[in-house]
Amino acid sequence: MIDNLLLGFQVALSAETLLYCFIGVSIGMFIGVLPGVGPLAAISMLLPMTYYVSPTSALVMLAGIYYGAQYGGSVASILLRLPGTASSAVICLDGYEMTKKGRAGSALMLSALASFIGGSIGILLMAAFSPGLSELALKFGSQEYFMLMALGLVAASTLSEGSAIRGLAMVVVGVVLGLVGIDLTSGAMRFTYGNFELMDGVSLVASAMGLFGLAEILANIGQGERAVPSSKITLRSMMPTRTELRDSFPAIWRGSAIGSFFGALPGTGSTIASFFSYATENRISRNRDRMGQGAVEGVAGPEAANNSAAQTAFIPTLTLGVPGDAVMALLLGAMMVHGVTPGPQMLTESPDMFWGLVASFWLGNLILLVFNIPMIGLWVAMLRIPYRLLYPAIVVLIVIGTYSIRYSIFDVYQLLAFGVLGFLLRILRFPTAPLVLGLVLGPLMEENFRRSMMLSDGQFSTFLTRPISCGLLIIIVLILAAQAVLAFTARRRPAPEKEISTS
Amino acid sequence: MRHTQQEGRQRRVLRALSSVSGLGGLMLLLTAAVVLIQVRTLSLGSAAAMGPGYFPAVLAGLLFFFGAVLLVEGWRHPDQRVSLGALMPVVLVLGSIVAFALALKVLGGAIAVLLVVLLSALAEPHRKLGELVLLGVIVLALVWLIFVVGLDLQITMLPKGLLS
Repeated sequence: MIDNLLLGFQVALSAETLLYCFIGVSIGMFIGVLPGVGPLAAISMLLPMTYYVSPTSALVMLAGIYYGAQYGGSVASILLRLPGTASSAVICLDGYEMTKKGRAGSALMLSALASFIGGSIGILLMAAFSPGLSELALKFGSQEYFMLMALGLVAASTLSEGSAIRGLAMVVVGVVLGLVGIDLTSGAMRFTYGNFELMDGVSLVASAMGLFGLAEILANIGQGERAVPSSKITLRSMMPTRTELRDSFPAIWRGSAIGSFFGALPGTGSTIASFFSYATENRISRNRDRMGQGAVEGVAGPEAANNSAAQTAFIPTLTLGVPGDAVMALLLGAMMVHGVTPGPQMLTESPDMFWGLVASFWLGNLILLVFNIPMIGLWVAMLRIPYRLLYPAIVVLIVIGTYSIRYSIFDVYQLLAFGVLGFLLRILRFPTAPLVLGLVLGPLMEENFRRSMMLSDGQFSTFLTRPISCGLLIIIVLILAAQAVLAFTARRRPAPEKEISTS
Repeated sequence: MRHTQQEGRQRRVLRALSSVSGLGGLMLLLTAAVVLIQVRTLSLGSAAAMGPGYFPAVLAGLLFFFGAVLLVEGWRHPDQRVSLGALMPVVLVLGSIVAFALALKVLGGAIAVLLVVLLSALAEPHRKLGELVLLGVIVLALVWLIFVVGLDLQITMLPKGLLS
């Protein structure tokens, strides 16, 4: 592992990689700070830019945006009681209370420290477990891969918020959209309706920008202007007291463990991790009576959790090639555009890229800790940019970014179509993230399904007779059964009430 | 008496179909139908040697199932109405993209970008003219710096006639 990490740092410390790492984490921090622009939208918007750089630099930058946003998300939560990202929503509770007590600086410092420790632990686990996991995955046949992807899709669409049926339906719609274009096995055209520009399939960039970028803007317009932070944060006020530090550390360790676990599972990401960590602190921390009134554990624990989750989320994506959420699906799509196939072969075929990524993650975390603390004043100033000036610039970025990939006006119309679709799905309360996950994984799933059935001579039982594939199938069935029971009991409860009101 | 009962039932069906879940279910059924129509032109093959139509046919089946479940949900909860919200901002932002697509090749990148800024900015009420002009100039400068200078994007910024 030491040799591998040395190799990684050789790659990560090259001037080019370091530059893109710095750009990535800074953009991530920036959009994390700003409420109303999430990492999903930011990564979709910057996908086109990465077409101009080497695959390693592209991934280093896109990944930097993702975990950088986890750092930045807590700033607005602490100062304004507005979550910059979904995973930092829970930090509003105690973070803002600390601001009201004049401890804003200390809260920001502790959250940066907790983020760094949580992130570092996540990276260490990634370095420790990835080689073994990818070795195991090399033994996988297409049956196992098909089931693994199915598990990823089912978990991601049912365990996140909202109704499970809607999430699953969106996954299937995404898979259908993923099939658009030439069928590589038979050469047949599917869903192209004579349009040559659809032969290569639906544009991932246009769909992600339409569904996330445009949809987010449409949801945020007309919400009125947000409050502006008033207090000035000085470096002196950022020093936590000794008691604050002593109380934070146990929460940071617990949060890191919780985050690492939930991050590596498909479907449960940093948001669930940070909420779970808060609930844990609420029960067992030393200051549990003071939770919600500005307890440091309520900031440190969830911050460590969402950052370690942001790192371990890369484990299934890079070692198995199966993304756990939409952000990871976008990164996977970006890798495939660059001709890199994520999966178990990546560690043996391009170890420099894999370990370079791991090392750059840690350097990125270090940059976030060291550079961003002195720059906290700048980030606070960023919160003063009104949204009404920001969003027209974002629309321009989205449109030109989409156009620039193939110089195609047709892609701009694809963007428009996905913008309309995103709007319709929002008013009908369908989640959009599972759709993109299905879009990326759809072609891979079909390929593995076909190959499995070919190898087994058309016997569906092949998925049951292979032990790993059967185990994965059992987990899928259990998740679906649990969802069905939940939906049934939830529907039971309000029913009597209704009968009273209608009779 | 029977007449009004029938009318009530009709109204109930309409309400169920236009509820959030009912409409969502209809959309899924429509998608499934579109997939099936396309599958008819593709060969299915057999399970051991699948044609291009096999997998989409399975997906269409799943979509029919999910659509049906949502229709049942809509029947049970017909009161969850679809609320569109303000439509004008949506039309303006999406319209700004149409304007870009139409203007880019004819009027050049600069005017196309300004159109996007102007139209999308109008989605938020109470705009001041000075602010809009300033915003347009800044965004145009940023686009030029990032895309034309920085990324060397091959895009004609000026209208065709002016370029000589």
